[in-house]
Amino acid sequence: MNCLECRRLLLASPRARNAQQQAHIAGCHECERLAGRVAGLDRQIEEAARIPVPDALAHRILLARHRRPLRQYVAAAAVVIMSAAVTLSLPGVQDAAGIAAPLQAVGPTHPAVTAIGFVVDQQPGLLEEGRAGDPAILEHGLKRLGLSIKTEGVTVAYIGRCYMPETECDHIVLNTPDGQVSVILVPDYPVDARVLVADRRMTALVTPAGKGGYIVVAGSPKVARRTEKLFVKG
Amino acid sequence: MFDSKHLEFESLVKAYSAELYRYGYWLCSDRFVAEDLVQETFARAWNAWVSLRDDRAAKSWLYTILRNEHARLYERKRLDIADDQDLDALEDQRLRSVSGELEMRQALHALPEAYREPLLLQVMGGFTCNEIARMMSLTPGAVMTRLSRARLALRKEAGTDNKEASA
Repeated sequence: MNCLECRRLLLASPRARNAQQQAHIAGCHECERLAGRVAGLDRQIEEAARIPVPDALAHRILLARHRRPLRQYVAAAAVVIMSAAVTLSLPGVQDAAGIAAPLQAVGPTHPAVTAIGFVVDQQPGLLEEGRAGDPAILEHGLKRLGLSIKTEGVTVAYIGRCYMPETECDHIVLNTPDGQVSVILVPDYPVDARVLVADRRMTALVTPAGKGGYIVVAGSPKVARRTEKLFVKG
Repeated sequence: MFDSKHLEFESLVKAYSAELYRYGYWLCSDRFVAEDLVQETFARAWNAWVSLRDDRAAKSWLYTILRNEHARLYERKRLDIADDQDLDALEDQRLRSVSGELEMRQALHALPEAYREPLLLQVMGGFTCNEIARMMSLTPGAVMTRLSRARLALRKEAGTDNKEASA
């Protein structure tokens, strides 16, 4: 291989070097320098091309997909407990024993099911990115729901945005004595009743507040209820 | 069978939505349109996903769907740009202090699409010249020519030659 051929290949496809090219580069100082420069240029191009991606893009794509397999409908409907007998006003929340539990089916687009999906699928990646978020978002979101949060023993691990069907919400991850618990504030989504939903081995407790509500997603109903109690009126 | 396809598709969305968004952005230079393109790409992909036999081809398949969707959006079936398009105009427009990410982004934006697209498919997508040729309906030789010219133009933009000469 001569220098001309080597340089043509380096400029066209710097990463795909054959044995002949490799041997030529090893013995030709000028081509070796060019190989280094082209590799540096490609790194610059790659970094420049890596523009920021919108939050929770994959989650929104999955939400937008209308055709869903029957299995998901069955799973979502399997363990839904509605607190029909409990009409609660914040902050009074009854414990597990006080909740009547008639089974009621909800579809896969129910905000509780969506919230669980978001927490299971998207949250780990968001936490890995390590963005603490803007506390003003949390403050504003709570204000819209007419709520405040008891901060004793609780720290905020993450604040960001997420997407429920047809609405944008605030996504908060709290470090609580029970471990990490996720809360999604849905100020624009009308929540009529307090609902407890279990799906994908997680529990989502939907609580009405203001003109919308909030959804606590936790590993168990007990933890979800304890976290729910952290949010108080005013 | 259907369940496993469904889970595979979810994995696919998680694995490729970000890079497809970036590819879409560099095609249309609009973040909102780029997101729509990705949404539409996966919607179309899902409709055909269950019948896809070769999962290994999924990545280039998705890129091709997005590319076609972009072309459909702009009612362009293919780019009719001659291979010997003069890139000197790009050099004339360049900023003098071209180093760093922002400047490289400007240089990428200024690069004609016929050159930018194969370059991004290779650098971001990791596709070979033959794969890019198939995706863009070009010969591998034409792809290599475009890639070489794109890098030469960006080298001038980035001032690499000057730095080397003065070193």
